[in-house]
Amino acid sequence: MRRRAFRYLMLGLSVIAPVWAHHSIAAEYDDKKPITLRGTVTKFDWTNPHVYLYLDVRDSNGKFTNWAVEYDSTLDLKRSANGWNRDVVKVGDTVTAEGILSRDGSKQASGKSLTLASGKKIAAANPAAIKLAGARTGKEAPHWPNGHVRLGAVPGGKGFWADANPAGLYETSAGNIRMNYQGQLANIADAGKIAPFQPWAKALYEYRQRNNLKDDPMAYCLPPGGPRQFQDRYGVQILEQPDRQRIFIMSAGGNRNWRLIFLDGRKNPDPEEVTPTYYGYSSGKWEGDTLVVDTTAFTERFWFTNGGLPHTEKLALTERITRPDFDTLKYEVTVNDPGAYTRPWTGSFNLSWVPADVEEYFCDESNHETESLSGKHTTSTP
Amino acid sequence: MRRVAAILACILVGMLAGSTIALMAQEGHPLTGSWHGDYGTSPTQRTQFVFLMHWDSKNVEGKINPGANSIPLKVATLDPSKWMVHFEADLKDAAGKPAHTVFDGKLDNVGSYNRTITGTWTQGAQKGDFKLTRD
Repeated sequence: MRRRAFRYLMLGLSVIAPVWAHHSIAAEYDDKKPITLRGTVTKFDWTNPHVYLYLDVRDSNGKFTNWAVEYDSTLDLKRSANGWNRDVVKVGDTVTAEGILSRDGSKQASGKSLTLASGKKIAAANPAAIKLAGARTGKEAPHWPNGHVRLGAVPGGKGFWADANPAGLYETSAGNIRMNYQGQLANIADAGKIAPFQPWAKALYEYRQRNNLKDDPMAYCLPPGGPRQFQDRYGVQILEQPDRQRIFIMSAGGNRNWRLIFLDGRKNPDPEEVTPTYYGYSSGKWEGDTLVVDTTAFTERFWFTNGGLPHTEKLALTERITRPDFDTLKYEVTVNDPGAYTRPWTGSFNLSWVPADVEEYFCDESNHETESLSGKHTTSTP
Repeated sequence: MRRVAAILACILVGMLAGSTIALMAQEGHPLTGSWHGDYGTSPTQRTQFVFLMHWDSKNVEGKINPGANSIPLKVATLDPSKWMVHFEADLKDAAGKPAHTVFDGKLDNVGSYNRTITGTWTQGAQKGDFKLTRD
């Protein structure tokens, strides 16, 4: 009864989505419309989730128009090693930005490069090329005194997991399916191999793929539940608390949320009796060196994988997480959602160890360029 | 009765909140959720209605104008190959008697939370157009 009442409430209530924030570039910008903007910097916003440069550009009639040029996240720009930092340009500098135009006709572009006042040209980041993992150590997986493999850092050490490979999720029996770092298929004809879809789910998946993932909930900084938390380009940090019989899965990207897995032997509650959430309700147990986690009670308000696989509130996941060596986390998941798929199916990917601390990144309402992001940017910013 | 009132209140609050939302991602089955809109025989002869639909893994079930006088959807189908929808329900005619009504429409902006359905309806000799927007 409580669940049904909540469902009605959720049907009525809607979450405010203030920003179009961490989006697919292809969804908002047209790569067939290149543009070069030379002008004077009025503002350089080195902020999350994306960096913005504002330029006063004079047109052929001598009229000045303020343009917004969007670049990658601060982390991606820094990791590109192309010379980006918060002081790379200053208000008043004359610079040239090359990029592609916004699809909605607003005075906005996605930056591909920036020629500084000094004449030095720096390229934007290429997220597909950025890998976080360190060199492989060749070491064996570390263990706790109780014998379980450690999924996180050793005492005194640091590190997290990233670089999911493959970047998307598909049924293991499908073989190797090519997709980009966002889970977008190289060949849309492969859609039918991804999973045993119900017809509506396949059509919706193809729709999302054909539309460059433009409706991705993560674009609104909503949490990535299920496997997608492990697919986040900024990685995940696993924090184990054996004394408290629980494990935290901490997102290094997105809105920096976390998921909790109980290891105290409890059973998952009836999904009809609890509030559905982005991460669901997880209980796990160890089978040798494999952490087996059952999760239910998901909301429908997110994509549970890169690339936009649909799901319903009936989604139930069984994850099997192992660390076969120091540098590798193997993630396997069985997806059971009779609302969207004709049978349960299993997919997997590996992550690599990043021997570093998670760097600060937030995708949330702190982004204050909402006018630009919503396509309403038409005048100079203060 | 209190439960019905609470449900209606939730939906109304949601409609008001939803009116401030420009964009949001689609969730679950494309027909699942609360929809509001109107139907009529001309631009000036309109009747407002609310659809509440839910995907049960095999069929879409739902009702029109949820509440004490709700009308069950006898048929609710989606053809995902063309995003076409088909609804059948016994609305009431001008005399207040049940009148079988058939709606055929197209689902647009499928990926959006505020997706729409537009199409035509027939009720005996009467016919017209309708539009629904996901709340």
